[in-house]
Amino acid sequence: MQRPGLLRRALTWAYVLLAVAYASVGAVGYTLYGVHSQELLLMDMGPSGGQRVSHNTRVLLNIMLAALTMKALCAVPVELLVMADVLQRELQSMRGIRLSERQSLQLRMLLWLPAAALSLGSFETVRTHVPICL
Amino acid sequence: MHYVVGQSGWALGSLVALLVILLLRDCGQRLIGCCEEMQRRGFSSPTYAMIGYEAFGEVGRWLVLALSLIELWFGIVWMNIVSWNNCTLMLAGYPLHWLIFGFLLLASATCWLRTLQKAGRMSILAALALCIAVGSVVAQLRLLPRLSKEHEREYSPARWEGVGISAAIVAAAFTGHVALPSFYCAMEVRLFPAAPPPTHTPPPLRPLPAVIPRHEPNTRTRPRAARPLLLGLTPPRLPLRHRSPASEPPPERPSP
Repeated sequence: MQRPGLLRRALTWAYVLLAVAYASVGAVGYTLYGVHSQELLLMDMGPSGGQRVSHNTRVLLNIMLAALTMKALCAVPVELLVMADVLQRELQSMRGIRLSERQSLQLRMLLWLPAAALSLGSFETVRTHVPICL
Repeated sequence: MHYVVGQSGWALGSLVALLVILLLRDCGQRLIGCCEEMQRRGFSSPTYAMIGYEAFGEVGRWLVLALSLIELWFGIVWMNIVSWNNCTLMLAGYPLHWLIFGFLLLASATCWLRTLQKAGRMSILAALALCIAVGSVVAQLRLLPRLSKEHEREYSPARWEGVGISAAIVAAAFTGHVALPSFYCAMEVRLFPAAPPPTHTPPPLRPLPAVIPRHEPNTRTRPRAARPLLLGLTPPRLPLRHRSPASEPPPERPSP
């Protein structure tokens, strides 16, 4: 997008499209499982939901998992870039420091590496205590 | 999202979700409005922390900055954990450390993405993935006749005890406002171009009039008082630009 004036409209449309997507999932999940559904639809649909799972259902579950994994993976660079952008703009507005391309890359790596280390350190703990599919 | 409806009932849950979505959309529109307002007043690249400063002063700037960084950083941590966990579910037979290593390698490579425009292309993949996931869920409707035989399902229009958790889940799904000022600044064409930096070269000398007129304040060209932006804080004074001689009104001639 090249026109900032359209950002408001784009935001509204993004909300509408996401609402439609979430509403579809909510309606289907509620129709299938009612008020006694689990936190994650994947848990209801999978073998842990206490039902017989056919081969086709397994394939669909894996497609869903792959898609959600791709979505999570795509979210990492966007969040990292926004974080570095916030820091760079603050540095520029408060101290007048403008980072070069190389320094900007170093900043992104500096933010990414501790986040990856914390993910590694807490992965086992989190996955045993929290239902974590997205 | 079905958990939201399940926790607070199909009617109440839908209402709660709609209200939260409208509220968050309004927050996003206000943030964009703040960016436009700041750019109209001469800030070349408004930031989220500047908006916090305009609203709550110095405390607001640091509070907003700290909270936004914490949110984004833990968002990265959470996305890593989710990706790895999904991978262990999909590829159960493969050693976990190799899966994690592969994902770390993939995600580390994205550090070389330099602009939000390039990252935006990646988000097209994410949108596509979301569509596939929604399609897969909708395809599960074919299970309905079999599930009807196996389980007795229960539906409820309103369950007041689940309103809090439902609102929280919907809010988490539709958040991400911290990125809006960055997205706005990444746009290539600005609505309100920033004022050029003040030059220190003096204006060209002009010959003085034969009779120097009495100095009177020109109320027509006096700068207007700065309007408060958000909560009554006065914005910083912007550097005045030199007026071009062509646009300057001719000096008053004294009456004979």
